[in-house]
Amino acid sequence: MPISFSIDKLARFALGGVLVVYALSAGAKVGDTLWPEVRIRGFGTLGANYHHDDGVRFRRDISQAGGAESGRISLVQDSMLGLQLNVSPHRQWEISAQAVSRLTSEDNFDPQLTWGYIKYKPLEEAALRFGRLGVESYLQGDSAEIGYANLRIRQPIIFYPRTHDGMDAEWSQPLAGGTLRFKGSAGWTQGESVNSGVIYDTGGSELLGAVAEYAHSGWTARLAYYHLLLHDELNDLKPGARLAQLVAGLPNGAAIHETLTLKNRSIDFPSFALAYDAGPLQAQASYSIYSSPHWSMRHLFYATLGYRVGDFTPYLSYATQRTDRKFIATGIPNGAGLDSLNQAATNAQTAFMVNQSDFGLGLRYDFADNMALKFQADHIRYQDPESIVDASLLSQSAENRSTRSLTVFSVALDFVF
Amino acid sequence: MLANSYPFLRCFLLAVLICQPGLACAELVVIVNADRNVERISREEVVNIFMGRYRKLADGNAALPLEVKGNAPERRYFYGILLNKSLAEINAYWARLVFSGKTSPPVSVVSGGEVLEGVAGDPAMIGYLDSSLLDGRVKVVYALPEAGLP
Repeated sequence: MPISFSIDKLARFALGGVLVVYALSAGAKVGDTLWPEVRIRGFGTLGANYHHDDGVRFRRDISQAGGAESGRISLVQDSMLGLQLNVSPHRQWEISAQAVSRLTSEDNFDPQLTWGYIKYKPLEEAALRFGRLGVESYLQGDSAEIGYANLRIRQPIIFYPRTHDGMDAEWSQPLAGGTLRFKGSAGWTQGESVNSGVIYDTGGSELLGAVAEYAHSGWTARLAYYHLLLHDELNDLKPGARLAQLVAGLPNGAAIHETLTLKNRSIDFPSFALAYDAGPLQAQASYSIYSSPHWSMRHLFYATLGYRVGDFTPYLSYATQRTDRKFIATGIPNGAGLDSLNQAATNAQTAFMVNQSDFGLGLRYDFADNMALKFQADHIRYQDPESIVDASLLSQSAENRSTRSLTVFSVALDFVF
Repeated sequence: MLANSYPFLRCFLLAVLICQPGLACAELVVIVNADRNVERISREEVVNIFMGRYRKLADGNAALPLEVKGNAPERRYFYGILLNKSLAEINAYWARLVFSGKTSPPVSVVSGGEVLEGVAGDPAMIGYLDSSLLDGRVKVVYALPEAGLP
């Protein structure tokens, strides 16, 4: 049974947790002189981006409905503010809540509870967390919103859903001078994504994940496997919806429905990453696969490279997502006024295909110990876009879609406090 | 990176960095409580403890890091010599871990004297300070660079 946490429930859960752990910490003795500790921390980004490709809108990621329009400076795509309240009544216990205000799927900046958990760390090697947690399905995937922590203004590929309500368990062990870490996660995802202007609610979808990571000196190798079972149906395929009716009337409608439906769809997401961060050099490379029955497999790869010179770190990055473009014919021959029907059915099948690449160049300037100014240019090529909204794509058949491109210029001031 | 490969160059860099206005000409040393059953720790252990990867020593007990806060010279030199990282990079690293709830940065205090008092008063603590501040309540388990360890 899916379980959904409301913010109120989580707040009550956290408050109850504070009282419990205070009670448990009453007998604290040696080594507890620094506890309890209460900390308020924050992070933020003031960002601006610009492009001049008419008819195209640029989104930071698929959680945003609107995008930066051509010829106008947009201040909303990358800007955000986050606050974290952290209470450690005892060194084994921690309670944390984090809210972020950023552009949402509903085009507003209403704060969202992105983290809210109780952590119990009975041993140095082990930790358990319960509550709302980030999804760490790829390298640094649980810190995509923390601009100051990232070299780029935006991570090259941002996976959704990004949070889940449930638990995770972690085990760390020193090994040959380095540290081996295992983590398992289970719960129900939370959050919304937007595709072709339609919001999809990932709430209540089951998530299971495992991560193995080894860090030694500057090297980190990471293997992850996440499994997602989507709960809700795509709005356009719910009973009575126009697309549902259209598909149901096609000779090959059942097969097309199988490619489009999200209800009870299982998605597997294995990922491998290698990172090197030592001295002035930072480099990362990641390869992932996004697969699901009746979908073409999507391959995701990105690499970033940065080299610090004084307070400046120039960087470059390349990210690509590739999906085989296989279409199921409607079974209706073209002509006799049915071409538009065939086109609509074909275009609908691109909803979960992504063929997009991004070559980025940028410069990070750490002008203070907790603030950084970044300048970045991204040249994006797309046939089946993920973060780009290009309405003109729907006016032609997806099978004959050409590759298009745009360049986005961005500036961001990242800070933590 | 070059400094990591050549101990002599690291000694030289440390000497240049340490002998700055506001910080006495002495080496930075990592200390634990004198009652603790640990005599030496490796550079990798220092990195694991202060970067939040694994905070336990060979005696099986916890090692909770303590350091001078903000942009204090000791802090800048410690990470500069140990990892060849700027404070901005260290702060960015901690931002990633803190805001994803993974682990906490070292506990911050205002002076080397407080680091000494913290470690002397709590066997679980580990800190680094200017060696001129040492007294008998603590012992040195690592010196930066390694070649400088007596």
